[in-house]
Amino acid sequence: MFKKYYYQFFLLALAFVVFYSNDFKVIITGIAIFLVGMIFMEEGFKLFSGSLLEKALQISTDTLPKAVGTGFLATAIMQSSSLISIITISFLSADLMTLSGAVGVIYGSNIGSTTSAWIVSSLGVKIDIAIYAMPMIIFGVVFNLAQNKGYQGIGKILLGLGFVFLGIDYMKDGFEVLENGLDLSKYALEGYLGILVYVLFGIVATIIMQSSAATMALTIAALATNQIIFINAIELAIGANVGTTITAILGAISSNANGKRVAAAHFIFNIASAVAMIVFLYQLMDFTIFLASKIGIAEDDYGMMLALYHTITNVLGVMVAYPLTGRFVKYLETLFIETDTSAQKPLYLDDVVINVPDAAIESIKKETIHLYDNAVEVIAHSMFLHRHKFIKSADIESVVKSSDMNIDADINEFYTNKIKSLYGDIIHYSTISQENMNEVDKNRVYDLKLASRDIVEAIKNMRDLQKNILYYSKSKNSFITDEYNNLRIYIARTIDTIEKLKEHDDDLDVITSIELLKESIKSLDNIKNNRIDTLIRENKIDPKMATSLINDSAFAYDVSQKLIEVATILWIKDKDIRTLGVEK
Amino acid sequence: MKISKVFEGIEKLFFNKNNDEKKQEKIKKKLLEKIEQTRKEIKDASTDEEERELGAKLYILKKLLERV
Repeated sequence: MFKKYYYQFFLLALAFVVFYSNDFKVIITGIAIFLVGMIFMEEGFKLFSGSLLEKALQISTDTLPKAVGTGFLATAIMQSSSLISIITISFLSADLMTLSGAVGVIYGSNIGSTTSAWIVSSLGVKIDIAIYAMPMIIFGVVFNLAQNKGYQGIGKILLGLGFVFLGIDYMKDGFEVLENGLDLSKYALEGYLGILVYVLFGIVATIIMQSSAATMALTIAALATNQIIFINAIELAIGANVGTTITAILGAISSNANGKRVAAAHFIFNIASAVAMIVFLYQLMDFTIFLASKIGIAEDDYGMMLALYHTITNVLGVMVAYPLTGRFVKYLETLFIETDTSAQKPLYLDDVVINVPDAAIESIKKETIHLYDNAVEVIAHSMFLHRHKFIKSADIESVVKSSDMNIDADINEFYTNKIKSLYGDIIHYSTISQENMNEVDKNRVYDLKLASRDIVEAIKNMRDLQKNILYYSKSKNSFITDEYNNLRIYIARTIDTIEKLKEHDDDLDVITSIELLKESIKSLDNIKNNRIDTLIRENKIDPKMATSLINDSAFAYDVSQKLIEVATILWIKDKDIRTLGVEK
Repeated sequence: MKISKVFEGIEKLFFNKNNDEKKQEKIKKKLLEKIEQTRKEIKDASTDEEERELGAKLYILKKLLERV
């Protein structure tokens, strides 16, 4: 029951605190403004960089050092390790990144997240940053009104920074006012109880605010106004490091095995770091104070010291974990092994990916290829053929002529089990994903939806064709049997050619193969050639056979055409080369 | 440095759309290379069937070139 109403309980408690204490209200307002700033900054960077961040994460993670560096830079710029984790999960789910690369990004992201503490402790609490916040908000709004998306992005970043600074200022003011009435430092706890209470508080605060940067800002503001002691601030930072993994875990719940592995990697790494930080709490604190004195941080500047502690512990954590990455990745690969890969279940449509355009498109493409593979099985069986016998066969004609016409080929059952629900899932997922896309990406998804529709229509045409293939295969009239075998040969050749063109790396080679295929299936368009006329004229087939053949040739032609359209959309990467396939 | 230049630079860095004409020229050049290559392969073809297949490929490549 509590679980059902916990959100309402939380709202009530929050309302009580806000109305009961003016001082806490100022601090909570600061947190809220800070979080609004983070949202603006995230949106701004997305708009400003277009898909640059995603592309950088995709390209620069092929080796572990590069992945660590990219994770660090991306998080330092975006100021959100949760966002980087979510993008990493989505890229891994879409196979745009290796598991080892993803683990590297998580390492780097942990170090990158420590930059928030440096910014807040060096700028936030030392100078009156609210003075800078105002012009940032004013110019942020002006830029945000511009037509150009780049300017809008700059506007949102300025607005975000302005609100973040303003939020920190509110938090600081709140704690300063609080200092006069209530001295939180009286509740300072040392020893194991302190560790337990403050680490837990750091975890809960980060989960609620969904931002370790906000927890760090709050901690530094409290530290600057002497509301908490340094060791408790360290414990809060340890809690924030653990709490931040919860966002990734929540994001990975509905993702596939790879997504869950990244979330697990993030969780295991941060928990292991937290345990080590707690075990060596005093040694690490002493080391931080020692190093701070060496690099010129004042001995009472606990905000900077906390930032230094945060950086030291995260860098040390990565240094210890780095040589073990190979084993760690192997262990992760043993987790979440999916045994059930039944065809009707989508394999790539991951909810985590849906808001990241590049990864969403890749997922939809892969799922459409999955649908195509299922469709090829259905089409082959409905022609009474096995795929492995004719694909890449040197003599498709013989395979067709010697095929066993008694194989199980209930096309309706195949359609229900392997196509229908998968098709529905692709259309639903694609439509939702398009909400967050620009025009170019939307059009690509639209093309992929068309490909799915073509696949389904090809199967429906095969359903009409199948009855006569079976019926005329038993006919005593060898002419009509040969004609129906020809239809099967053409469709089998189309599938075979498409399988071969998948192996080309050059889009121009793919389009050339597709155009050659288009030319070769033109003879299926029986109305245009006189083969069927000759058969009728020479009385080799009766009128009933002729009409069936004319209709079924059209169906076979349509099946081949649809499969070719699908191949064009799925296996030609360059949009300009794809359009070369359309006659002007 | 004028602020407009800074924004121009940013625009170029992040929002520069691919130059369509340049891209079309690149495709044209690649198609011409492929046509030349196929012509050479036709000359070296050892069987009639191979020659016919390469001839069909050449026809398609020329058709694609016309569409660029």
